[in-house]
Amino acid sequence: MDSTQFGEALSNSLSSSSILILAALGLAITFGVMRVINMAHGDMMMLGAYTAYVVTDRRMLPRALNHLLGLIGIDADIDLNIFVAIPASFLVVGFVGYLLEVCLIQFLYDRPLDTLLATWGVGLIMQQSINLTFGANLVPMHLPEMLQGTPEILQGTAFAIPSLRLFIVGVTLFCLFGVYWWFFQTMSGLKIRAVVQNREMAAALGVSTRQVDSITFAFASGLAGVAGCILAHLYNTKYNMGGDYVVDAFTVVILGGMGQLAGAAGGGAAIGTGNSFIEKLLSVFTKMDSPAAMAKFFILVLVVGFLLVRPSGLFATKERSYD
Amino acid sequence: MIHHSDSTRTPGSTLIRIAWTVFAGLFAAMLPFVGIGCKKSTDSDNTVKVGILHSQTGTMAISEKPLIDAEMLAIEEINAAGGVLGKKIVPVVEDPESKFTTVFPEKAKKLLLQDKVAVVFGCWTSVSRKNVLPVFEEHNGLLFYPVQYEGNESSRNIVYTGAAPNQQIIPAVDWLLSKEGGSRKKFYLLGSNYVFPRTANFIIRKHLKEKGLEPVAEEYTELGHKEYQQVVQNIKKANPDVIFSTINGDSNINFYNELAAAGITADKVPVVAVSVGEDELRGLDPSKVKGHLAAWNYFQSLDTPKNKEFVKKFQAKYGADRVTDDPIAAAYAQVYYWKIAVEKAGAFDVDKVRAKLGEVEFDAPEGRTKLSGKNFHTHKSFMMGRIRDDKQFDIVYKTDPIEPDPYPQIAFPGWSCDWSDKNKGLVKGTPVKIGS
Repeated sequence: MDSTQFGEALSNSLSSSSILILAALGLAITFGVMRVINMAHGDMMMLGAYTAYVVTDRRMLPRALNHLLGLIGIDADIDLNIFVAIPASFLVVGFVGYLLEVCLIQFLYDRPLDTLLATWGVGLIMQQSINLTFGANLVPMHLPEMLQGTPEILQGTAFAIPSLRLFIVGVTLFCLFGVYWWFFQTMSGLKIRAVVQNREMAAALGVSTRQVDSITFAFASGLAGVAGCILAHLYNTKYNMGGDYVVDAFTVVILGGMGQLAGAAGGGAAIGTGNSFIEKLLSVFTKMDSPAAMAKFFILVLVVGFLLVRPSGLFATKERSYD
Repeated sequence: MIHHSDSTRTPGSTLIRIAWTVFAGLFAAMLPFVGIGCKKSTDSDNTVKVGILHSQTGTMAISEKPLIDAEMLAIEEINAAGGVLGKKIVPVVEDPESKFTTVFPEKAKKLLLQDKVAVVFGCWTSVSRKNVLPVFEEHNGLLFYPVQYEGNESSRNIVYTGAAPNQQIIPAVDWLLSKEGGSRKKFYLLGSNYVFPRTANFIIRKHLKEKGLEPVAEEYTELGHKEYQQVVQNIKKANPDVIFSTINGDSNINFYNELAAAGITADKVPVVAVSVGEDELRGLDPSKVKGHLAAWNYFQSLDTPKNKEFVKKFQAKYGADRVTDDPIAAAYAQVYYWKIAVEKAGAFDVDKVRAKLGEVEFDAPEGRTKLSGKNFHTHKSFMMGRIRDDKQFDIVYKTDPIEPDPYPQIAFPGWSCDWSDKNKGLVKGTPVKIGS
């Protein structure tokens, strides 16, 4: 393996890890912290992706806005892109998450296994609603010029990471720090951690556990929406895309360690890096004709092996109050 | 209904609840009879039943549903023109749910034994076809299969109305080797990991070897694979002058996106795809795929009166945003092939219809086609298309109709098939092992 290949493996690792972390971050809160086995996580990403489609596709929201402005006499040519779609996805999916928590999840906090079935059902409803509204075909996404291609200074080097992937790394870091700051530097973060550690005691001390639950779940759903919005631009958008992400997201959270935000980052980085390096090694040193599939196989074997030795994951929670 | 009775807080509520439950139970119990009743009523002497066996749910639904649309359009037209032998066609549509090894053979059996259909139009993936094949052979049914495939198969009970390998894969390679196609020498073979791409690449490898060439790489990704970073790096390193893609399904979008992001454009290294048609292009941003190539036997942009009429009828029935592509056109035409064979035979009996397959000729959307009485494949012209801005294709190369051959001799030496000659039938040659 020469230095170019090593550099490529490193840049692939950076990109893969950031994608995994972004996809898993919302779940790290709903599943890792709130203990809701949220099978609808992938479908919330899907809702985020479709929100992005509605916002950015010229035939959808921009046309409606232009038409409305035309009615009041303004000749507008509004063209919305991914930068508008990200906050829109956060708000729309966050609101869906809020409704879901208020209408369903709140009755299931002491029955974690039932959340699995309930959220799975909700996920199916979301999928079929989108299927009925937009059809089963893939929908095309358009990237703004500045996120297409590879930055010129990186072209031809081992670190030729496409602009969109660099952007994803940035968004992931932003979300990670945002969540960290919220959880550990703010009063409402303190309340969340208090409610998670001991619900009754927190309530006795005057924390509105209902409010904390709803807002946390809504926020985590919003993060899933953002992930869906961005990954839809990198991969593809279809009504059943959630299934592609939900298994990876659970693997990342479980490997990282439940209840730890650092776990999502650690788990995502471990799987992303491991996968990229194994795939690179297989491509360079073997004549195997499907290195991608084999890399995935090896990484899952490693994850299972690691969890056998250390069931609590990379970053184990030390409190005894759990379970 | 039961829920409704719960809210009735009158003294007799228990009774009402029981009444509702009994009523609902009876109603549910009657449903299957209602269904059978409907079927019986159409089962008169003036109709003939045909089976349609394409997935309406599951992963393949997105590709297979338009084929049902095309077949229904043809059936509607035939019925409007008086039917077949004076009988109206009644389609029995079953949903095999993209479950290739379980529900496909089950539903095939149901269509043949229970519905006693005269013919079945169905399947997309090779694995589903391979799983229903024994059912059709055991019960002497007739299946019309409308999708291009890898060859290396023949059955007296299957009519292949998509391309055989010598009508799509081999002419595509030949064109790329020619001066017109850019005299390309360094082929990068990239496909999804299952029977069609592996057999196709096996044939390409043998064909290139004959010309003294060897592909620079052969690589596979799983169906639905998302992350193409490493593959694109492998491509850069191998420095091919053409990528021959047998990637199927959604992965194509991830692959083209990654290729475009890495700056590999069609004018430098074109991708030639054999499973990307107008329908698949709908989910792609045209800037990412413009200029890349696709090898088929039909394109929507084909400029013939017959095709224009077909596209117009299809869009009038299903919406102006719909597109037609190679498998859709073949699915439409194959209903007519069956009608013509039945009329020549003067009967719906499978053996009699089969004997007349070799006489079938039809003005299909793709051009004048005819069936081969030897191997029940279809004579087809090969076409190479280049992707335009509007997600349609410019046809850059077109051949005269090619006689179909499921066993190209370079790849399957000694194998041949001739059902028209009782003494020949399927002749087995050297055993062939495909895959690594």
